[in-house]
Amino acid sequence: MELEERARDSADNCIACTSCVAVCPVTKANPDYRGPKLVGPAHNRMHFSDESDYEDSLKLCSNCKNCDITCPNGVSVATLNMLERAKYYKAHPEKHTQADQMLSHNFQMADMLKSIPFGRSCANLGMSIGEAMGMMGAMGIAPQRKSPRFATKYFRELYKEIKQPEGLTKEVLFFPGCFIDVNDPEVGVAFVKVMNANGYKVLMDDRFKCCGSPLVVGGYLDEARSHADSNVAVINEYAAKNIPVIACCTSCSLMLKAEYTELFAQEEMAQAAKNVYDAFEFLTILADQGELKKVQVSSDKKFIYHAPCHLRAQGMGMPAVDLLKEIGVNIDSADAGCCGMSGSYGFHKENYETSMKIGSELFDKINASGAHKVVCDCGTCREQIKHGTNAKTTHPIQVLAKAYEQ
Amino acid sequence: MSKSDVVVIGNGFAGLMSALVSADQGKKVTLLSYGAGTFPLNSGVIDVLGYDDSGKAVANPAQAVGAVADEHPYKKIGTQALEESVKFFQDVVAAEGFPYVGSLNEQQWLITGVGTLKPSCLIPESMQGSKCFEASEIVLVGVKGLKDYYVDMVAENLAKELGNDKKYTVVTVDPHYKGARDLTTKDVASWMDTDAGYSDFVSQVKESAGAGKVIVVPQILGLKGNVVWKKIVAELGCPVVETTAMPPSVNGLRLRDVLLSALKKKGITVIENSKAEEAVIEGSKAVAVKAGGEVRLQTYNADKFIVATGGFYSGGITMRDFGEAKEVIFGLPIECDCVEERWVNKQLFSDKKQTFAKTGVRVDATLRGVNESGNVVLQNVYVAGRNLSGYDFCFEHSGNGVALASAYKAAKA
Amino acid sequence: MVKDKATVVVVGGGATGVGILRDLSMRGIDALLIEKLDMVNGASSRYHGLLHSGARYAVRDQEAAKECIEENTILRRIGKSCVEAISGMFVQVEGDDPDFVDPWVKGCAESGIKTREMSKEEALRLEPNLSRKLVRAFEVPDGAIDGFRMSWQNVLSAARYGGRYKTYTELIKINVEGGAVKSITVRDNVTKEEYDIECEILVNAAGPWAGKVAQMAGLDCSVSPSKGTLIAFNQRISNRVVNRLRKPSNGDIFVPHGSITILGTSSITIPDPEDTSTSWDEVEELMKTGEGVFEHLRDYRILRVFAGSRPLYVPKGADGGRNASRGFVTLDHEKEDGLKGMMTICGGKFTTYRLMAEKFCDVLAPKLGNTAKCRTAEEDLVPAVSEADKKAARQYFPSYGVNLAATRLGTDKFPEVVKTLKENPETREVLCECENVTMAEVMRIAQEPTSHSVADVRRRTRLGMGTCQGNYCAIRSAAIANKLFKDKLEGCGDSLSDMKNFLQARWKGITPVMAGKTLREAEMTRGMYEVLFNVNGGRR
Repeated sequence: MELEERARDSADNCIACTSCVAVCPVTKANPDYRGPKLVGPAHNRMHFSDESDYEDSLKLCSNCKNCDITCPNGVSVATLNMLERAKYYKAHPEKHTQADQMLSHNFQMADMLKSIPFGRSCANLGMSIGEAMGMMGAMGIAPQRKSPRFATKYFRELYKEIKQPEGLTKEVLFFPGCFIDVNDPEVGVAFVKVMNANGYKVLMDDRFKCCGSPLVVGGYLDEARSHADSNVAVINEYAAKNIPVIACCTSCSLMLKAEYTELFAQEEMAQAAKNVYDAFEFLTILADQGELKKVQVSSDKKFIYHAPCHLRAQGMGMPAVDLLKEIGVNIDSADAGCCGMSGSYGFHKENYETSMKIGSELFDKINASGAHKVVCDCGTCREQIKHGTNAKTTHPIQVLAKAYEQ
Repeated sequence: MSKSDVVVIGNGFAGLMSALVSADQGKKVTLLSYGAGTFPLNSGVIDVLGYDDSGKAVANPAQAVGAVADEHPYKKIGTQALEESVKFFQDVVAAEGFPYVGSLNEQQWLITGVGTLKPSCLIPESMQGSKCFEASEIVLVGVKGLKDYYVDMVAENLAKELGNDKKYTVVTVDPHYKGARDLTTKDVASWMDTDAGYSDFVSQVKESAGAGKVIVVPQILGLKGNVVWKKIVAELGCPVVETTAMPPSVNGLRLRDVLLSALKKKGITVIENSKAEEAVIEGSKAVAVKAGGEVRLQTYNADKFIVATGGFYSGGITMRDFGEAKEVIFGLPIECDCVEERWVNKQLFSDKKQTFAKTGVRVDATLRGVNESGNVVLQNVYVAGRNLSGYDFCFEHSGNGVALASAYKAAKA
Repeated sequence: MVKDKATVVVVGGGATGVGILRDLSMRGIDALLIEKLDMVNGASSRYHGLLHSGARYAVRDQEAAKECIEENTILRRIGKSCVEAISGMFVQVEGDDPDFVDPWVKGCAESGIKTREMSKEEALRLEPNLSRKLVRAFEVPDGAIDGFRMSWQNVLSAARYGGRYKTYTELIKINVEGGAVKSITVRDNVTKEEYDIECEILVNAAGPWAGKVAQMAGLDCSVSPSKGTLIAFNQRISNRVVNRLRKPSNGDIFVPHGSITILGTSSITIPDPEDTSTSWDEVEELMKTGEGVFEHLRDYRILRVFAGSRPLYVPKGADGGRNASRGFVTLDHEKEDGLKGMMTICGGKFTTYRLMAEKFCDVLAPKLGNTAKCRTAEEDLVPAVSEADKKAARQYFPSYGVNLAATRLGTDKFPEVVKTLKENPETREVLCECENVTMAEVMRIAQEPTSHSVADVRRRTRLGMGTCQGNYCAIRSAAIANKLFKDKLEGCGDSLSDMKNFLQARWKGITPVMAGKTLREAEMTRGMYEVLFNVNGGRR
């Protein structure tokens, strides 16, 4: 394995240049956070030190990856932060809060509710009541927020009802990820439509688990590892059959493409990563090969795009914006940095203020844009945008699917 | 991926300026960005030439630039391009509402974060240290708890530079900071951007201000352009001067924001976190660079490429083992005098240039890489900024000047 | 002018000298140590920080091996605040002589050094960076020891028994009357004042400078300074000491040392012990050997290179270098040369410094009619800061530096620093973010009578010795500490020159490795201090 791919070793490249501190949204919003370079990279050098000595502010990193984006030396700063956090919680499991537990294990709750008749409706009702009565705060979840509701039918169920056209010879495997699966299955439906229109049959594999991103952020690294191992095995199985794996959630795709290897440094993870694509990355490749279905949009409805940090970290620009512009959609990028949500980060009560402060620039730009809808690839970014503005949101694949329908 | 006219590699000062000048020529530009250049470090000032080869202070940069050695990038760029580039830059920042003062005919003087003086050429209005020369009293403002700015040290050294016939007063402002981490200039600048912070600061300094005085402050006058500076100068009724600063440097970030805003207006595509790894060469031309990105490289096709990936610090030039310096993307020819006896001066703050610092791409007057016999190796690949060989920007204080002029010339070519 | 007197004056603030000072003081003998610069600036800090198990000597010199393992055990017990009680490995890689192993295992067993062979898999699991060309691996009880801290702790221990010390005090003349040393003349290297110190016995413990000291008394003592060059890497490459399992040679020891790793050592006989320069060839030789053990070695970031002179004693007619004995000699000049009141100790190695002092003082003490037994193995160098105190301190520490600060500061200064942190939150500023040194700690150490420059503070705090090699802490510490030096003593340099000198000292170690990732750091250092701060001053 190349040295650069191992987060631990990448810490050696840190010369403390402070570029990460200069751009870190959490550092800017929260004066208790010491800044990326002083948490992961600096602490990593101290791993000989006593376990009772730890960096208190390591809990404040949102893992948004703006540090990685800005590092001139290829240091996996955010991942180093996550490794330090994991080490801390391993030594101090009692420090995990109820909110950590819940927000990192949403997939468990989702599975459980599915197995109970009316489980989801009851849970959604429960959430409404809980929110109304202010119970979320007691559990450590930001009481100001409305938790995403469970869909009556998860995508994995809806998928079975979709009739994909006969005779499609090409196949892709969809990695729905938790948010699309249980909270926003329509994105998955749109994905199937788009792929079908381009001659691809969409496969699902029930063995896929949560990508593990919320587990890593919560400090449950061992669990994340077991998710990684089982997902990687599935991906590699399909790789052997030349079937690419595609995700519509940019945090899931970043996890599968990059973070597994950074965190766990296993050869098979680096191997699997090569078979994983973000949806618009894949569609752009089709377009480059002249294989993408041609369509031209006539509506001049204005869209504003928010690039999720976890897409920006992937170093491929904004393929969704480029592609949608190409087919005539009136869309422009907000270029307003991080939205502040960063997965489950903004749901934590103690991070709420930081999260909203970070997002304020984006909210202002959206409010001033007069756009019809905000387009964003990430589910939790969309939640944050809905919370911070009155805007309607959509996933770019839904915009494309609609264009195909016309 | 659709083809661009120009692909600029690097988002330091040279990269951003190359992109802007190219776009100004009507070109479709894609900029591959990796890291943040030296903006977080460089205080956003444009040194053109502070000191000549013997270490003597340069009074007139335009003249001194004409007299540099043959190996120096300025010799290849020429004074005309330098002059045009300065105008171009000043127009860009002025249009963004963040004007820079200065010209090629004189030095501007900065007060550094340790209290010494430093010559520079183009500087923001908030950093005009020369205002101190005529003042009878210098009021040095420290900020309680501020890291990397030690007002007593600044006072000690500034008095040595400006003489003891002036009065030096130290005022320490309390920002009522409650955070658990150490306070940086960027934090104080954010505080100054709030109405409450601004009034609090002014109320603590106002008494010490007045005619005949100059207020020297760390780089804390807001994160956005010159908004806070304009306001505070009007309110205090005397000049207010920011010093240079340790990273994270607020003015470097201001300049970066302003240039990125200009880039966006020009419709330049910026691909973030995209490290160019290899080039696709056909004959004596480059047709694409491959950059990425997690897992897989993306291909960026263009008619012309500008390499602005920086020197050793930024990784544009690497040298893992002695004598094996490389330009990492195109493998452009390198000028590198890697001989043990002269590679490094034993003194860090030396009275002569450091040989290692002059390592870079060997170019001709078109700023294209040339082999030892002087022939251009790649017809459509141009080089700008610290990638260039033949100068020690630290010794001469010429970093952003070379970056600006070479970016301009490379983009115009 | 006589300004001071002591029964015994010890010349040299290295491991040997401080060991003797402590030993004498604990026996109740009035002793004063003088050192021409700061404490521990010679070979005792310029080495790889290895607490030998003795395994390295198991084949060639079993007596040394036995001494090492005994002292290793004692130091782990009495020096908990300066010893990192890790273990060590001896690894054989492809190409190493397989026949070396059996005699080595046997030698270790005979010397009382426990070895345990582990499987290749276990070795690679424990130390994943080891070369895949690993053949065999053995565990041994090697450890790491911080030379700065160990020496200071000896001095502080001695001070509790009345021992005294003066740094920046250089011996310039030995005054002999009637065949006996009566006094010495010294120069205060800070104030430049010269004065005499009366003594009954002068102990020459000047290490590689011992020959020069002997000369001042007109004696001939042949010391062959042997330069050892070492490379400090930015991170811990391993968590154990790693030795090459073969005939001892250059560049075959890696010692993890706090946050860094030190690779050593070369061995070159040099005429002048002050010569601590390093050539590219020396670096290359170490790297070449080192990458046999850690195959990616050239990709790791080097912080700096440093060199020290071993004080190898050369009996007449023998040669120096690696084949010279690592053993030590006690020279009683009364017996050897007919000069009363002067003794020299020469040679030896860091790990056995305590034993050397014991044996030496067993000869010296009776001369003064003192028959007390050596007690240096019985008592801890410094009492350890209690867990309760550390726990209480955590709420005031700005970062994860409590344990590090506690071991650096010890029971006397740690509570003071914690009190400052508590009462004055501004002093919680972390001046050195690589090694986590707070402003309060820097201020406390700067106030010590022995601190005259930021470099002195560095040696006691590790300030500036981490990743950034002083880039960030130079300005901070110069600004904070220089004021305190000036309060204490006129004639101290100003803050700007203190800052420049501090960075210059770092630069010295960086220049021989100005390649690879080091170049990045160097370009940043110059960008910050030369460009942004224009430290050479304005209108030059």
